[in-house]
Amino acid sequence: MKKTLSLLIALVMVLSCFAFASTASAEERVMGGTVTGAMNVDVNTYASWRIRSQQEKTALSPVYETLMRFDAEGNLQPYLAESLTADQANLTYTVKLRDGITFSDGSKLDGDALLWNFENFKENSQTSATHFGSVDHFEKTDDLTVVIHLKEWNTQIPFSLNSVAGLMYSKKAFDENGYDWCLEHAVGTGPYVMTEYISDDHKTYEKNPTYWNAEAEPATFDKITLKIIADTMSAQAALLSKEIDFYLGSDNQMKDTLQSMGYNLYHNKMWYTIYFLIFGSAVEGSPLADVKVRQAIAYAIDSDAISKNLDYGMSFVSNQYAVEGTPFYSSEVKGYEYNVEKAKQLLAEAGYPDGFSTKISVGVDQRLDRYMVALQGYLQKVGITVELDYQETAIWTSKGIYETDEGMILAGHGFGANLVNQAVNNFSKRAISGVGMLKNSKLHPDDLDAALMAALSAADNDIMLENMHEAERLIIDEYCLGYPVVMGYGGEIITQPDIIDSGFFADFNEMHTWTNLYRVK
Amino acid sequence: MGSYFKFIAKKLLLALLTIFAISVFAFLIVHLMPGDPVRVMLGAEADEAAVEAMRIQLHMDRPLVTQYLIWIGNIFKGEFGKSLVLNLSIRSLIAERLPVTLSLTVPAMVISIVFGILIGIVCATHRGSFIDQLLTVLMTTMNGVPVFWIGIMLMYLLGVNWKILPLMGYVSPKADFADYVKHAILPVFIMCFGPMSSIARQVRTNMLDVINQDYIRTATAYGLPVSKIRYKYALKNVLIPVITLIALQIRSIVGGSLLAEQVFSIAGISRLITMSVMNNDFLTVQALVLVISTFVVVANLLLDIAYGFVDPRIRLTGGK
Repeated sequence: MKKTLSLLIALVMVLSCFAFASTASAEERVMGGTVTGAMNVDVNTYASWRIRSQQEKTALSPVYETLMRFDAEGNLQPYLAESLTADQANLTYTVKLRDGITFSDGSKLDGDALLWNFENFKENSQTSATHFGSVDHFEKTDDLTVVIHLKEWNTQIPFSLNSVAGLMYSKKAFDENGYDWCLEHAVGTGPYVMTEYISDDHKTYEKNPTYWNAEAEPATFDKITLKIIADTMSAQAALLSKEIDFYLGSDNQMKDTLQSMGYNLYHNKMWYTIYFLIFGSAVEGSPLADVKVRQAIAYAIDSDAISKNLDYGMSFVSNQYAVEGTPFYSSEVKGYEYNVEKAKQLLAEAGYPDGFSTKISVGVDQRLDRYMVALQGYLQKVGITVELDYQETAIWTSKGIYETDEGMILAGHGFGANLVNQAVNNFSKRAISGVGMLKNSKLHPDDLDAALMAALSAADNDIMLENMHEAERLIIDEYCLGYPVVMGYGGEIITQPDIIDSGFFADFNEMHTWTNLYRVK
Repeated sequence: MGSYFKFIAKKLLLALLTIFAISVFAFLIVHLMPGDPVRVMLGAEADEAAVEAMRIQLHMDRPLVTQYLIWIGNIFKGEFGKSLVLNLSIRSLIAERLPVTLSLTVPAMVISIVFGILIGIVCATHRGSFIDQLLTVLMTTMNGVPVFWIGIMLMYLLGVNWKILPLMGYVSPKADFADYVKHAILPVFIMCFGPMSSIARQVRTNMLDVINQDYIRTATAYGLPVSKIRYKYALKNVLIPVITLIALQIRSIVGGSLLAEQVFSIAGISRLITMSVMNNDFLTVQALVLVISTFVVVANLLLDIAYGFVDPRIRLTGGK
């Protein structure tokens, strides 16, 4: 017994040593040195207010920071701001800045700079309507405070301040150099400064020597080089030869191959891409105007098989317009499990026992061929003959992608912390005058519109989520206005095994925290 | 010699007419597109007011002929306008990118011509031998295998496995010539691939044809040295149709640079055109189509002029 006990103690001690060793190794960050990454396309701008694409967010995150930031648990917290105070009765949000924040050009982030950033964004950003559409005006009340005055209440302002609308650009740089100069030069408050860029080739960043938050969040690398590698095969070769440490823009096959070889794959926890099958119903008497037909179509599609077989398991399935694990996800939504018999039964009940003919339209730029052919096959099984309609990018874009009169549309779009805004633009009655998914639909249920508008103008977060959850149920279960075919990750990077992401891409923020990317020994 | 100048003048006039036709085509690219070009440029989400403002800024509210005259007038002044996406002067973009592309395409062209002719001569003069068969199979394979695949394979072999060449990127010859050569080997090689094999096969066929002609047989009978017969008398006649082929291969190399710059991540003019097409940056596309086409037309004109030096019949008859 004594011997057994001694052996057990020895075993525990040995295992403890291993455990400590592995913890120590996991924590052993290499500070300094260079990291070399690559993206598939270059940025089109360096000015914070013009940022739109994922690549621009990645390439300019070393330089720019947001007023609000999600913490590790997914709670939105002030970052450059010290506080954000909502006052629904007076239709205002008050932003108070932290004291002592400086831009890399030495100027101070104060009330004047904040006021200018807000006004400039509202005036010049291409996404101004999305973020500041409800803003009436801005007012500086003291050296560190600006009040946002709204025309109508909008719960999404804090989320917008976590997005591009919350990025701060140096007012001094703008005043001294002018608008056009700013489009080509990034001057922010971030941990790095851009020291060189050659368009379509590479960018170099070096540590910001005067970074205001260096003590709490030190830059892990002395230098970052970001290359442009458009071709996926070339990027894979660059990763294999260790010419680059990480890549943004890989396709599913590349991710699958490299992940099986021990490379790390990280994705954002808040931002996703949904591939929605939208049911057009502008034509009177269209089979798609019947909810049972729409539900039959939803039941007829095996999304799990599409994700597993066509996307190498790199996409996933959600039964609604939100992803499990995010606050917008509703456990009340039932969705549609793959069930051919149920689909046939619903079609028969709707008066189409032998099916019917329709079409699915897609823009050629969307690169959704693989889904289109699969959808055609699944619907054929329940008797629905589908014509695949590939529309030229120019036609698709110029007439508005959701302006198809009859049939279905397959379209992907990104969403995340702005889901309420997205849902309002796509599924409320606002979609008719805008460019939302239901723009050309005759289906604009009053209760859905009410739920969405209530979410947008809710007094607090709980009421917003309660209404958003109800809207999800109405969109999917009650009216089946669209079917989420599969979901993709909004931002994903593949890294060398020794490059660790502890909240760079793998967090809830739209902009990336470069100080959370590091190398381990 | 007077008729040779007439020949050059005729070719020059033809080249100018071609450039004019290209300018009209490049200008019409925007208008031939389906849909509203301004809406396509700004995207589906843009406000109608922004679309209208852009239409006015680009003079697209004016008659088509007026728009063309404004555009071509600006180009004569060296003003191509600003890239709608990058917000940079298109002239500076071209000035930055053209040397990169030329530093790869010119060596590719020179290597294709020199080695293509040499290989063709070796094959013809050693007809039926092992070396002829080996090179012929190699040239046929080079012409048949997709260049993209060869590029990726070479990249994996030389860059990933053996690590003897850099995988991608570009270094200016002015900055570091040795590094430029190291970076240029793979892209130049894949650009040469098709043109070199075409030239070699053409030279081989022509050479075989020429060395069996009576005047060569006579020269041989007179006891002239073989090298003199081959390189002084035969080669000149072999090269006349080859010059036509070289003119065609310029286009092939320009096309190859699109692929090479994409695969090897080189920020040259060909990648700029790809990026501009993908981003609906029509002003840049228009300018680049005009510049690249003009470059090809001028290169072809120079080759037409070179005919006169190689073929005295053209010098004397003006190409009639």
